[in-house]
Formats: sequence, C-alpha cells, structure tokens
Amino acid sequence: MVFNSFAFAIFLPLVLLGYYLLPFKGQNRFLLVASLVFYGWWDWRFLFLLGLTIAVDYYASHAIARAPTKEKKLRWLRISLGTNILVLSVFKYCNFFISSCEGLLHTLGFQVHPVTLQLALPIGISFYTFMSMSYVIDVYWGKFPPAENFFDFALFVSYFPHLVAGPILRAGQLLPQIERPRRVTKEQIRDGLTLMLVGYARKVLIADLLASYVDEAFRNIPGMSSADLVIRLWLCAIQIYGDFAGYSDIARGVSKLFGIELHLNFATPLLSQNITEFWRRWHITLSSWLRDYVYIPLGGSRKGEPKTYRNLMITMLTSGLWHGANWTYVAFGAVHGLALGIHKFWMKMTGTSIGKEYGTKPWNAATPIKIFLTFNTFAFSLVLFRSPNFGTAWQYLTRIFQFAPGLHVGTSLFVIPFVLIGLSLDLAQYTGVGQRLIAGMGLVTRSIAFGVLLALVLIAGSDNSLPFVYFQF
Amino acid sequence: MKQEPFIREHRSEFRTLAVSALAIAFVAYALIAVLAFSVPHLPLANKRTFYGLLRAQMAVDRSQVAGAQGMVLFLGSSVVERGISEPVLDSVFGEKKLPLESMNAGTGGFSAEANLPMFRAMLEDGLRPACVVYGVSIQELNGASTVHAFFGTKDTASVKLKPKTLWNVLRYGAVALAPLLSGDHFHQYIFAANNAFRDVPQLNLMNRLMFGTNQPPRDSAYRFEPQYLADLREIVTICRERHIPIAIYNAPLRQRLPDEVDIPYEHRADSYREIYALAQSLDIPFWNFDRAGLFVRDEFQDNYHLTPAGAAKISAMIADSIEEWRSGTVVQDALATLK
Repeated sequence: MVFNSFAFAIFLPLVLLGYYLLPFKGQNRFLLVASLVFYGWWDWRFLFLLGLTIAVDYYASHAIARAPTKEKKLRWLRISLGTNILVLSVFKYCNFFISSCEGLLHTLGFQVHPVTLQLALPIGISFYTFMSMSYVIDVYWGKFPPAENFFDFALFVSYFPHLVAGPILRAGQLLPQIERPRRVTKEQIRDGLTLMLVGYARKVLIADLLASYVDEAFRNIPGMSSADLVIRLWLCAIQIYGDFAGYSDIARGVSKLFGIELHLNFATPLLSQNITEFWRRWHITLSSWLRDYVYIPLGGSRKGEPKTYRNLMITMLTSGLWHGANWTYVAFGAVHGLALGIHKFWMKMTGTSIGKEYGTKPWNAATPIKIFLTFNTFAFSLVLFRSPNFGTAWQYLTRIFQFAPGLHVGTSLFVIPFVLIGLSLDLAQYTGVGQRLIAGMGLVTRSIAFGVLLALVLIAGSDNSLPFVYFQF
Repeated sequence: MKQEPFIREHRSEFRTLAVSALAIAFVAYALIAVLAFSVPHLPLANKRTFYGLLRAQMAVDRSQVAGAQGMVLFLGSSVVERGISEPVLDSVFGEKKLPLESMNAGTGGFSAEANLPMFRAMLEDGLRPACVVYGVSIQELNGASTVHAFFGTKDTASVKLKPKTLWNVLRYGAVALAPLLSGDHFHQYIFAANNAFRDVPQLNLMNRLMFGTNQPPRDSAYRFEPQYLADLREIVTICRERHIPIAIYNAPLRQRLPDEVDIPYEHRADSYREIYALAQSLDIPFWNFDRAGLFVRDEFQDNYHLTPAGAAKISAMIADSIEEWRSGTVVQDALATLK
C-alpha cells in the first residue's frame, strides 16, 4: 500500500478510528496489526523477513543485556548484525555481487556463466534493517535497556508510517513514545494534517509533474541541447527532493495523528550553502545513522587527517551502496565523499568551521552564489544517481559539455510555477514563517488555504500518480 | 482501573480533526467544481482521452449555441484541424445563402481509428450534423506512421462524453482538470482553444511559447493498414445509418524538393487509390485538392499543413464543393487528378 493510493485513503481513517476508540493498552496491538496489514499489502511473503528481523533482534538484544561478559555480548551483536546484513545481501545485493564478480572475471579473461537469484526486493528492507541494527548496537553500547515487551518492539520496527521509506528512527526516539501512553493535542492534529498536505503537494504537484521532463532527458540525450540537459538535471534534483521529502512529510504527518513524533528528515537541503551543510539537511536520519554507526566507530576525525578523509569516504561509499545495488550509486557516494573532503580541506585552509546543527552561516551577498554552487554539485551528482549505467552517465555529461545549442523554452517555462511552489514551501519552512502563519490561522482561513492546496493535489494526483522513488531502496 | 477509550479523553481533538478535514475537503471540491464548470469546453476525460474528447466537447458545445443552421462537421487529423477555416467557410456559406455553419473537429494525429470513437461520443451526446466532411492525407492509411495518436485505451467503448452534472463534476472533475497540469496537454488545450494557429497569420514569440509547435517528425516509412480503412468505412456506415451525408476530401501536399524525404511521397497514389475505391463502393463524394498548381509552396506551413492563407483558400474551395454536392452532384475525383 502506498500513501498516494485509494487503498490508503480508506486504510488511514479506519485505523485512526480504531485507534481513537481503543484505550492505550489496545492501541499498540492495533497499530501493530495495522502496520503488518500495511506492509503485507505489497506482498504477504515480505512479512516473514520482517518477522525474522524483529525476532532475531529482540532476542539478541535481551541476550546482550543478560550476557555476563563483553565477549558474549559481542557474539550476540554479531549474530544480530550478521542476520540483518545477510538478509540485505541476499535480497538486495546478491545479484549485484554476482554480476560484478562476473565482470571482473571476464576482464581477467575467464568465461563464467553465473546463476542469479530471481528474488523480489522486499519493500523498505534497507530502512527497517538499519533501524533494527541501530537498536541492537545501542543496547550493546549500553545506551538503554532492551525493549521489555516483544509486541512493542515489533511495533517499533514495523510502525507503518515510516516502515517503507523512513525516516530511519532510533530506538531512543521511538520506543519511549510507544511504551508510554500518548496524548494527541490539537496542535499535533493541525500540524499532522498540514504536513500530510504539504507532503502530498511535494509529491504529486512537484515531483510527479517534473518526472516526465527528467525521464525524457535521460531517454533522449542526443536529442537534447546542453542547456536542456542542465535544466533537466536541476528539475531532477527538485523532483527527487520533492518525492523523498514529500514521503517523509506524509509519514511525520500521519504519525502525529497518532500522537507519535517522527524525526525531521529534510530541512530544506536545497538551500544549503555548502556540501557539509547539505548532508546535515538531506536525509538527516540516514546521515546521522551513518555518522553514529560507521563514521564515528571508524574513528571519525579523532585519528588524524588522512584517516578522517578515509573515514569520510568510506561513510559516503556506504551511503551510495545503501541507495542501490549498482556501481553508479557507489560512484554517487564517492563523488559526495570527495566533495565533503574538499570542503573539509577548504575550511582548514581558510580557518573557518561549520557550526552546530545544520551549520548555517548568516546570509550575506555571497549566499545566493554559495547556494547555487551547492545545488549544482548535488544536481550534477544525480547524473550518476539517475543513470542505469556509467555509459549513460558519461553520455549525459559529455553532451552537456559539447555546448549543443537550443532550448525547449515552452517546456522550461511551463514548469516554473511548480518549481516556485516548491521553493515557496521550502522558504516558508526555512524561515519558520510557514509554522507561524499556520499557527495564527483560524478555521476559515486554514480551510481555504489548505482546501486550495488539497484541490491542486487531488487534480495533480488523480491520474496516474507515480510510485515514490525511494521505494526502490 | 478501567481505561477510558482514547476518543472519550480526546473528544475535543477528535472533533477538531473531523471538522478540519470536512472543511478542507469542502473547499477543495468546491474549487474543483468551479474550475471544471468554468474552463471552456473542458471534457470530463482523463489524460489518455483528453485531446479527442476536448475536440468532441467543442463540437457539441458549438452545436448547442448554433442557431437554426445545419452544422457541417469536419473530421480528420491535423490537416483538417489546421487546414479548415470556419470563418471563411461560414462567410462563403452566407454569400451562397446556404443554411450551414461549419465546425472543425479535426484533431492532430487522429486517423479514422481515433476519430471513430470520438465521432460516436459526439453522436451519443446529441450532436446531429447536417453533413460530415472527412479530410484525409497521405498518412491516413499508413500503418508505419509515427504521427498517429491513439486514445491509449483499447476500450474505446469507454471514450464517452460525460454530461457535466454536479455529481459527475465532483466525481470526475479532478481527473478532468489533471491534463491541464501537464505541459503537453496544456499546449493541446491552448492549441485547440486558439483554433490551431489557423486564424493567427504570424505567430509572435509569446504565441509560440504559449501554443507550442505541431511539427510532425521526419518519417517516410509506409505500410498500408487495412484496419484504418475499415475504421473509415465504419465512420461512413454510421453516417449512413443516421442519414447523415458524408464526403471525403484529400488534403494537398507541399511540392516535394529532392532532399525532402520526410513523408512517404512515393506512396501517395497507394493511399489515394484505396480511399477512391472506398468512395466509389459507397457512392460518396471524394474531392481531391492535391493537384498540380492548386497551392503554392508559401501556402504550406510544412510538408502537409497549410498556413492560415492556405486554409482560407482550401476552405473556399470546399465550400464550393459542398454547394455542388447539395445540388445533387456526387463528384469523385479519379487518381489521374493527383499531381
């Protein structure tokens, strides 16, 4: 089941009604059943894998807590991580590894005929395995005790708003909310509905509308001018952002209606002034996961400069590989690892540093240029993200630098209103104006404003709405 | 201690949720209804059927405001859409004191296969033309052509004009408005609403940006497709059943230059022969305007679309042919008239 489907439009009100009718004790069980129905709607067989992750990690976390020695704790940690990584390897990366080995052996002159597995990629596997692994690691590190109740833990892993495409939550953020009685406030309902509407607007009004222009560019690279290819890359950046941020907004909005807060996942990253700030604003939960469970355990920036850059690159390569089983994604990660390293070096040479949280510098005359450069760094890296292979990516980039003349002016002009809508939503979020405006609105004003946005969403999303891009991860 | 149901403890929040959702939904659907009723000629279609049903809706809407004049309905592809000038036809009809009014329902890319369900939709919606004139071109029967558009649905029975009642608008309004948010369909709408350039002699930059272009791709492949001929025959049969006189005309081609291989010039006679045979077998008029010396190169926008000046010229000729036809003469221009 997807958020932009008729089935979900029926599912959510029913679940909310059941949830509001039940006392706290029944709510968690009800949400768990609803989450399993939501996930099983894709394919009921995926439930077994989800169940395996839940069972292994719940049991392993308790075994770690009970283990008398560090060695025994480590053993259970390895069992848990090994199971999760094995599941990921088999279902997501197996054919990738096989074909990569085949390619390497061919290059070395060996003729092989490997057998690949015909397996469907379970939806959301990258998200829920990362969540569950972080829980076990945190228990191992002694950050908190294991979840007492198995069903509460199962709900933590399978909670439907964030199950298939994040945000990737930590146990410390979500488990306490599950284990304690919840209260839904009027503000949460207001903010929840707002977020859902903004999320749907980002998805159907911006991402889906821009998708056809981006697809056309990658389908017909020789037929496009250089300017068109650059513009379509910008649209690709806005499309992927709209799609992914839209999903996160909907997930957070839906969750608020249950009185559960999910972590912010996108903090207007396209308005970042440098690449380091970008990765603090883009897919925040994944970035922080990689920071806490890959970068810092490798040593972070504490083991000298060369190792800092090495750790940065390994972290970004992992990020690339997480996105998909293809070398183009790894290259995407490598490009950003390089960009982050260059920025780090630049800060060292200029004696500047990046502050806490997002590290946003105060705006000045140079800020628009910095934003433009950072945006283009991200947009151009998407050639690798979007291309099915290196050949297509190379063809795209070389076509741009051929400076082929021409421009589809009509097409380019048509998308401007939708890009401006997206920019307005981001600026409202970035400056906090949006939050203040909504808080000050009465019922009538809010109904009109949101009603207009809902009408646009219904119109744009009514005919052949596209699946969320990040479902493939 | 027995726990209270969540809803009882949160009565106020639940009420807020319900009232907010209802108010927002009301505003949204009211806006959709207002837009669906106020956008001129908007058909309650989806993206697949949009352009065809738009043209059909325009014909039906026009017939509803027409006076006692009989409607001459023009069907065909873009050679009709861009090549038939209603003001010129109506002016000539007026001069000749013919009680007729023209309606150009030509649709870019539509051969008989797509025109057939569109024509049925118009008739089901109550359209009663005094006569039908179907314009063909070299691509009409070409199964290898890349310019043919289709409704994109095999279920052509679903291609229907829905009446614009409040219930239908609430039910289908969002889907019907969706094409206007797509660049291609928006251009189609602007194209149709502005009479496909034929009344705009010189497009300025703003026109070009608004209207887009309708340049067919270079394509000289040809393969006779019998199904297209069968669909054209079906259109004639439907007219016969409803006692609607129908005539066919052959649109002109631009004089070919040696380096131009963008349409299947070598197969002009193949296409003409089949349609001529159809006209003969069904005893309907077949007028050929693809004759030497009839049109000069400057009267063409491209290889087979006329400029507004060319459209005015052919429209006056067709009006003369219609007058002759109404007097009882059935003209069937033989293959030899093809230049």
